[in-house]
Amino acid sequence: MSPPPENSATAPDQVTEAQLRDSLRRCSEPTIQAALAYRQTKDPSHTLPIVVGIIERYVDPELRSKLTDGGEGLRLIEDLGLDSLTMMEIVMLVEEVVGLTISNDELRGLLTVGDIRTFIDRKAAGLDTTPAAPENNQSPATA
Amino acid sequence: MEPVTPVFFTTAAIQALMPIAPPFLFLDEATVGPSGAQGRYTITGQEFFLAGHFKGNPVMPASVMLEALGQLGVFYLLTGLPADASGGAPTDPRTIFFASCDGVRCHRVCRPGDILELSIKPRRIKAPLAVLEGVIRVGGQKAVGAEEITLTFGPASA
Repeated sequence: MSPPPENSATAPDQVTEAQLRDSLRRCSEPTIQAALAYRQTKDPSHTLPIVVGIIERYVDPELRSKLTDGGEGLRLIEDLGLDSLTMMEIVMLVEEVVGLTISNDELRGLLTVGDIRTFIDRKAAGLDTTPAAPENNQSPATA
Repeated sequence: MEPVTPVFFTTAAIQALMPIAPPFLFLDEATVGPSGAQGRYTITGQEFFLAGHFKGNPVMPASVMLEALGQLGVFYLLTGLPADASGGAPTDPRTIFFASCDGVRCHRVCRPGDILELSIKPRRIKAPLAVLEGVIRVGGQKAVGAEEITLTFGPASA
């Protein structure tokens, strides 16, 4: 007798409001609202508030004001003090909330708040998301 | 390893697999299944830190309660991690470390004689990170809750 597969990957369209709220329970209400709206409409105008709201949760409280004032050019590591593991925690939550997967190769190309937003918008639209890495021209294996 | 039905592990089996040993192992038995793991630890009163925590008043430290949940998480990563989450390779016990936790609350003081009923379930797993939710109950009563415990893990090198 096996329990229901509650933790298996859920198809994006089957994510309920309760599940989204649970995933984002340490994020602000506007973030949750943006995520709910994005799930329903796929309107790219919601991706920036989602990304900023998720990053906010993981940023040192003393640096959070930068996130409000800084705009899309804010650098995740240099300006917001995020380390690589925290970056991965952010990416995992963004993936879950917007229903996309981001490979570790793609993650390396995401340096600013705007990079993540652009990446999600391109990926959601089915466009090429290969990071613009100057040295590495090998196409990353897609997971 | 990916158990389809829950698998029970004895103290000896746990000690053989875990990178942690007494006097800092807080897991007497465990059951690992596809949707998470349950474990038990009996507070004996012989734990070395209880001699000082507190003076003449042994109380299981909250930090150790969180450690016990983390240890069950380590054991889950070693025995229950689905192959698609681990990248197909077994987890190297020496690569597992604590990364973060969020939303930890203690609801009940635990003392010698109490049996901690530990449970964790995965919330998000993507190598090298596993985000787990954990609860400790004593006699069915919630003692500690952790909304998220994040561990890092890596594959055994070939």
